[in-house]
Amino acid sequence: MIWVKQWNQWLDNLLEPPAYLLVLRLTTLLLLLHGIDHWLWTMLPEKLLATAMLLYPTLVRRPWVWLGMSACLLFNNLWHWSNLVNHEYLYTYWVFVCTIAVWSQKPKQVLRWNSRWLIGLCFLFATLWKLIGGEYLDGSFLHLTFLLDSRLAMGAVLFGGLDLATLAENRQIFEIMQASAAVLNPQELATTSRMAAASLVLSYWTILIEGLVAASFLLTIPRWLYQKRDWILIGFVITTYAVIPVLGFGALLMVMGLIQAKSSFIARTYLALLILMPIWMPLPQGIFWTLQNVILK
Amino acid sequence: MMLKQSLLNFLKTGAIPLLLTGVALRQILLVHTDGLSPWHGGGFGMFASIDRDERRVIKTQLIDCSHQQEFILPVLMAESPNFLRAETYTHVSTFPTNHQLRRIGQRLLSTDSQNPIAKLHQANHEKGCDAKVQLQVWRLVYDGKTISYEPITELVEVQP
Repeated sequence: MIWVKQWNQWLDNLLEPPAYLLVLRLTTLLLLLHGIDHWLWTMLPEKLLATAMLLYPTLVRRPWVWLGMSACLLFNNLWHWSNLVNHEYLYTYWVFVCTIAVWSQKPKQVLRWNSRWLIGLCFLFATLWKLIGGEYLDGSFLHLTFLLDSRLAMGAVLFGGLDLATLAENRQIFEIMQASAAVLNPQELATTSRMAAASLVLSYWTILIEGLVAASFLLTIPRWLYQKRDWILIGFVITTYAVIPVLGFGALLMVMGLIQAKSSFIARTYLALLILMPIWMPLPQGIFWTLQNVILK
Repeated sequence: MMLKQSLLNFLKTGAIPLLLTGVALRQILLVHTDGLSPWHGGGFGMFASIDRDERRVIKTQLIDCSHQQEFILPVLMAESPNFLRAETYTHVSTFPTNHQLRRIGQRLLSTDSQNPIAKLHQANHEKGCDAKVQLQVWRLVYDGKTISYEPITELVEVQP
């Protein structure tokens, strides 16, 4: 138990006031690391600036430095607007918030207020999309994603009872269809009724938990829901990203969650989840692939 | 002084959430009017639709006086990397406006050496028959059993 105590002590040291400085530093670290898997040369200025901010910590308090970072991200966002995915937009908004915060006299309040609203709105639109698109209400989006997306192979095997060979055949059918542009020849994919049922259940679970995150962060009534918002967000992050690891989004949600948390215990939980993310997030997939490829083979 | 204070308060509390909302509403509009992929554009539609840009197909046909021939753009790009940049192809798949599709059509009808089908035009032109190009973007759909494609743009016809 001593190491648990030491771990908590270390987290408490990191969280020592002013907490907003920790959030700014963590944001800088995420800015350095995010997007390196799909590198674009236009990202170079922001990476250099983030490196300088980490090497010279006093730069993190400089408003002009954050203004420069905002300009870099804004340029990238405008240049590549149609290619960027959700969390890349959220990074830009969050850097704007950090910039306004370091210019203001009460940086923590600015970060707290905006983080709650940004989390709430991003989940509101995510829920809205799942409702208006229609492919969640009939389960077809998740069903096809389980059948074609290799990142969800673990879910397809565990929830749908499919085997890896069948999934590989499905992917091959789709790849041939797409590569030959054979748009007029529908193709049947191998699946199970269990996969269809599991997809439907998981679709409604996703709508429910994302809707709850949105409601609990945007509304202060009902009070119990508002007070439970952090646990709902943590529940979403653990249940979703353990199945589909999206490190960049998960990490930013933890940083934003941390600054608006009311209790030190919750702030510590956010920080612990963030620090341990490179371990717990890929762990289920790692165990699954080891079982499939080493032990069961 | 009051106005300055109100503006500062707005900047600190409402400006960024409002920006997020504006961009997201614009994305929803563009998806429903101009064929933007729900996965992109800042509307938080990722993991909400099968229709992601990588799964779209730009169906391309060259029609001359005697016959029509289908081309697969990624294959042409692999043969001649300078003909069309990968980023341009991705952008057009993600946001296939009429203007963008016309640009690709014009590129296919150009006679410069980087166009892998330029020789075909030359031969047609010598026979006194100028070809035209038809382009259409299709998206993937799934009914629980089969995968198929359906068009998300009008058929765009480009002439020399």
